Amino acid sequence: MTQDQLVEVVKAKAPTVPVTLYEAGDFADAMQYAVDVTEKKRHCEMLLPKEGEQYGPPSENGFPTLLDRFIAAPGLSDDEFAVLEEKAAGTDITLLRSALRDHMGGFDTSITWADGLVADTVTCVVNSNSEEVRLGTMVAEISIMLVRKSTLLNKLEDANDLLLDLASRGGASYTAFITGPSRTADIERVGALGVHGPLELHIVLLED
Amino acid sequence: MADAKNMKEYHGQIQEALDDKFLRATLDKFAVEYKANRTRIFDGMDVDGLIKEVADIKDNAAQHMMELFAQFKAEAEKRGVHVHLASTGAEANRIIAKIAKENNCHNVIKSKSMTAEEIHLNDALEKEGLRVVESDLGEWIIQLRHEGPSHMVMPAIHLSRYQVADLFTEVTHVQQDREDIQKLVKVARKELRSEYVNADMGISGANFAVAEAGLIGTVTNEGNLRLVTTLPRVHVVLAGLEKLIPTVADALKVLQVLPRNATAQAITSYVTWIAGANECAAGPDGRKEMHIVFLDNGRLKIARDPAFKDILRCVRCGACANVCPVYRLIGGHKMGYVYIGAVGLALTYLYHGADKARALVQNCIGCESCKNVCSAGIDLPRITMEIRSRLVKAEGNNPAGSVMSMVMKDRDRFHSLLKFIKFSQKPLTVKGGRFIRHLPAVLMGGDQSFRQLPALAPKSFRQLFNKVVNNPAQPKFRVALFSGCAQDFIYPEQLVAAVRLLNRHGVHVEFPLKQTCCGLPLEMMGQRETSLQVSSQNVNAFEPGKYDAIITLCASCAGHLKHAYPDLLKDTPDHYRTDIFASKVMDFTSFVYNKLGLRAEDFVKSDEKVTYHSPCHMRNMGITEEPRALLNMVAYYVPAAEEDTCCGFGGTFSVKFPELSAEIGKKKLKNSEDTGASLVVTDCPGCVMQIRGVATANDSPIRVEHISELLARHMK
Repeated sequence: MTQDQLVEVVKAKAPTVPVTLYEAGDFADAMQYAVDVTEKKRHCEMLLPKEGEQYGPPSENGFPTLLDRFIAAPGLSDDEFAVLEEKAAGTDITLLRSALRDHMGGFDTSITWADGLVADTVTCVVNSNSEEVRLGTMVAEISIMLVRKSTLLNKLEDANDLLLDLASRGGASYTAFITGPSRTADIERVGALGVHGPLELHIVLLED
Repeated sequence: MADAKNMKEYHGQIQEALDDKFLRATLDKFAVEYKANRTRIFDGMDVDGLIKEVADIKDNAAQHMMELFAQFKAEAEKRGVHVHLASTGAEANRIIAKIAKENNCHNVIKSKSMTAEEIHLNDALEKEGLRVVESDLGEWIIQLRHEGPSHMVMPAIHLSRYQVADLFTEVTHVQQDREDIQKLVKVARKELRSEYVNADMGISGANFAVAEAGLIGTVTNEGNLRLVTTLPRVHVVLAGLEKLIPTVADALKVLQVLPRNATAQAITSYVTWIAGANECAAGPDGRKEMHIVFLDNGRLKIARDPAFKDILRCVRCGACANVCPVYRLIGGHKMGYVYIGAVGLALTYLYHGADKARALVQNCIGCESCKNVCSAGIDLPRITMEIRSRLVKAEGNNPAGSVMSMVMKDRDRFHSLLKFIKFSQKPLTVKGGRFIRHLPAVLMGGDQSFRQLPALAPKSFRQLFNKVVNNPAQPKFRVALFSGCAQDFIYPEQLVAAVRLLNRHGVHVEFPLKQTCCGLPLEMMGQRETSLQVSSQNVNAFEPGKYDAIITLCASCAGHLKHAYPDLLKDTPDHYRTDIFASKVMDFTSFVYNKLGLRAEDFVKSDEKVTYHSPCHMRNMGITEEPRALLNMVAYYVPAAEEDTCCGFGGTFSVKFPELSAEIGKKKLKNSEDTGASLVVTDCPGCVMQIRGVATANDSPIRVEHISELLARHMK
């Protein structure tokens, strides 16, 4: 399949995963998208509230919310992060790049790169060797995955070489296949999203 | 957790489950939806081919377990991991407790692991003073309730939202919403977050241990495993040796089947691949302290046992429970000890011993639904029968089994006994002599009043055959009939109808008199020795070379003769003859449709509304279209709901577990009645006995017939 065909497959399948798909004009547009998404959502729930701290109004779940907005962007290069900083300037968004362990109570959004995207199942292949990437993609309420169209794969078995490569570069490795948000059906087999990790997964497709 | 010491205790536990209305409704709904969802998710894929590939991959891995272990160990050690091998569950528990102690760990957060359940790891760690918290939502719920999982994939499927809400209210000291499941899930999101942060040790299982890269692969939807393996400074993986697999490509192949079969998902939300001690800010030198504990607990021995080795193919998808008519009635707490469903019966025996398994392994109806749905094509009913026979061998025979063996061993004695019963049953018969009146439960080994049992026929088929046969001068085919006990002695009219139809269409029919019971009931009772004797008698009663086909009208006999005989008799002098015999065995329905090629013009079609019951052993032979096509030729066929679900007979099963047989039978009757048909047609005398018996006991007007009777009645 050609790259365009694979993009069509992703477009067709994304809503059922569920994944929100955005085709960005360029990297700056992708960062603008992340900022927009973050500004539109309700403030992040604080899952580790501390006595005496100030919080915003309770969420729909009755949990306290954070007064500020946060985007964690582990794994972006310095240049890429600078673009994000530019887009977030003038908003009430605080950007995080590291030490996400200090933000385990929650943040709004994370931006991470995926190393590949399997079109058939809409599965992001994410090099998660960095602990910050793992925490970013789990603790954010909305996880945004950046995918270069050239890294699209057709079927799951086509991820073999990529996975083997990531796992054999010497030393330790941590690779994640991520298909949609965190989910469960453990109560009465009723589907629910965001049981431990993201409530939403967005994929932003970028030209190379 | 079914741990009944004996059948009486077990029946008590089963009754508790049958009385649980929520459980019954949940599992009923699940059974129907799972089948539909599974079909949808595999649509367009070569499922059988994939299952075969998975079986081959796992077989190959099991035969090279220790080589793979050595390779895995070397690769993992290169990446900074400590690899351990525990020969028993107790040893694995000791190793993990020691790791905790040496690393000064106090709080353990776990992601789901059936292997940890197998060795009761939480109990062992708690005894050492460690605090252990399960993070998978279902596991967390049952941990808080101090109970075991009731399904391998959905551990809390037995609980309602109300039970969960009340539990969460108790745990959080905040009144929780009793209706909104979305909100209940968020309670877990919030409550567990601090547990991840506070834990100093994470324990996970593994779906794959890939030898070529020292790589652990895990499959989850919740993503809890990613936090469990990231935040704490120590990570311990517990994996059965059967999780070892040579390559990433192998793992990706299995991954095409596992989530589809488990939850009808193309893939789970997260598949996590960990090789080596990864970056960890809380760890010594910024690295994780990582250990992998492989568990033997009998696996190496199982790999060398030809009768059991296939069980190591199991990928823990849970599908064998999802399709099991017994699981559907009683749930996992009563159909497994730790491992659940059909594979649970076998694994309980293999990993937890005969004591825990003695009663459990009786609870298989033999419908083979599990075998047909298994991710790796494991013949679970055969393994269950093997366990029964090993229990009999090791522990001596039970009274019912001894009597059965004594009677069946000698065909003359068996047939004389039947003759004796036929003459003495008269005072006990009702409804024109066709049924036996309800006998005291104590005589029957249980209350059989849910169905009216048939009386023996006044004349057996072997007495009638010469009078009814009218072989053509120039036959198109020559066949021999294998009657099976039910039709020979209870329902000879079904065979008489078949002979008439076959003769009319140019088939020469013979009936070798030395044939006897096929042996399936003996296998169900663990009577292997006698089963081999009757199998051999049957194979030698026929001259298979003389016939185009050996036809039977009993689906269960057909399946047993065709598919079990070659395996049962493979190490006996009869093996060569058996292979020819088995190759000639054919069920009546597909003979009539495929071989004889009868079509609409051969019958007079009526407008009677009829429905169909598909016998399990017909489906298992892949015969599904032929009977329905024939029905459409002679009558107005209306499909029933769950036509492809077991009728609840299962031969000796219905005597051992009448309470379960009754429930399944009543459901079958209701589904048939709901079609508005006046007649249920099927192709197995066992199913006729069950459905007709249940219909009669419930005064249902619906009639039940073998397809041979309906076809013969509508012959031109």
